[in-house]
Amino acid sequence: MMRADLDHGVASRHITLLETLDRVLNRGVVVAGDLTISVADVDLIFVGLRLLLSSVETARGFHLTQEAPGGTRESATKNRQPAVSPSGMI
Amino acid sequence: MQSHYIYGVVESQRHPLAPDIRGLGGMPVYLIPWRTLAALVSDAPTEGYPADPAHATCHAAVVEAAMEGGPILPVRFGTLLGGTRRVISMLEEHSTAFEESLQRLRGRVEMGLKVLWEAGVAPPVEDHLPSDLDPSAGPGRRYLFQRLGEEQTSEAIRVRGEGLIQSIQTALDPLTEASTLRRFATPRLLLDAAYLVSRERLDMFCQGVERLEERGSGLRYLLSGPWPPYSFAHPLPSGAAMTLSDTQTPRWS
Repeated sequence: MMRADLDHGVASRHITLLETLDRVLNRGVVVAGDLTISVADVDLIFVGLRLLLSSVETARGFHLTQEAPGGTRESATKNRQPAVSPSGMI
Repeated sequence: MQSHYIYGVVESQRHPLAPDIRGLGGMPVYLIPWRTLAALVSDAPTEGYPADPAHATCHAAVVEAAMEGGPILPVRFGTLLGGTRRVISMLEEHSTAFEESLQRLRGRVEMGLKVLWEAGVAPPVEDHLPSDLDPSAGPGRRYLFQRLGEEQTSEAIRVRGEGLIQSIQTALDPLTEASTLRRFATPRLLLDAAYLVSRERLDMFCQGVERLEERGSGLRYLLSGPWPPYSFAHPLPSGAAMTLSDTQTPRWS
């Protein structure tokens, strides 16, 4: 499984990190351990994801998916990074 | 007695983990087997490790590396078991559910999809007043009309959003084996979904998302993956329906 390193800047790396944290901290099998490291910040992680999406949505260069004629589009199929617009901003 | 930090449950008969994979605290990762199952663990101090992005990322990397060599049920971050005997009794206690889950997840991956929409953001409140409102209408009447306008707008938004979600599901359901959905998580986040996809159909699934992107409809698609199946690892008690949060609607084929 390739972890493609798309050159799209800090925003996409942040989203990937938050997606990773969301899965590792919020999902997966819950096993009754002898000790469970309490993650008080789990809700904050998800809130952080929402906040990040908000900042990303309002960033300059936010494009809807209808591309102008002649524009190229990148789709993050099979890549770890989420899809980005050709401007490089998510 | 040695504490073990657990990353996941795997089959005992599987490809070994790459020897250079390191777990939390830089510790080697290894299997504690019991019959056909094994716990993927590393030795840990009794008090464990802080819950921070570095440790969580390390945990995720171990799970991802393990997925290369066979199916894995990812375990949530932060679980320590004291002693080998405890690990084995944990495997034994849940063996049926673990074996069923591993079979169900063999050769499958998780794909994440977040769908953003501008139309989900309601227009400013001034826009809710009807254009033919009597200019001499008092503040009470204006307030009521404003509230009515807001209600109708948010209802219209929700109806439109539900329709868009339905068309996304119609397009992707045939390409997936299961899904979990969070609808309207934020005003702009129309859909936050995880899909269980077989590796053989992964290309088709990604093409399906591309086709949705081509439709436009004012939607933005953020696709991520493939992930280990964090969202689908919980064992289903046989014959029982899955318990859900009220915002999640998994579908099992």
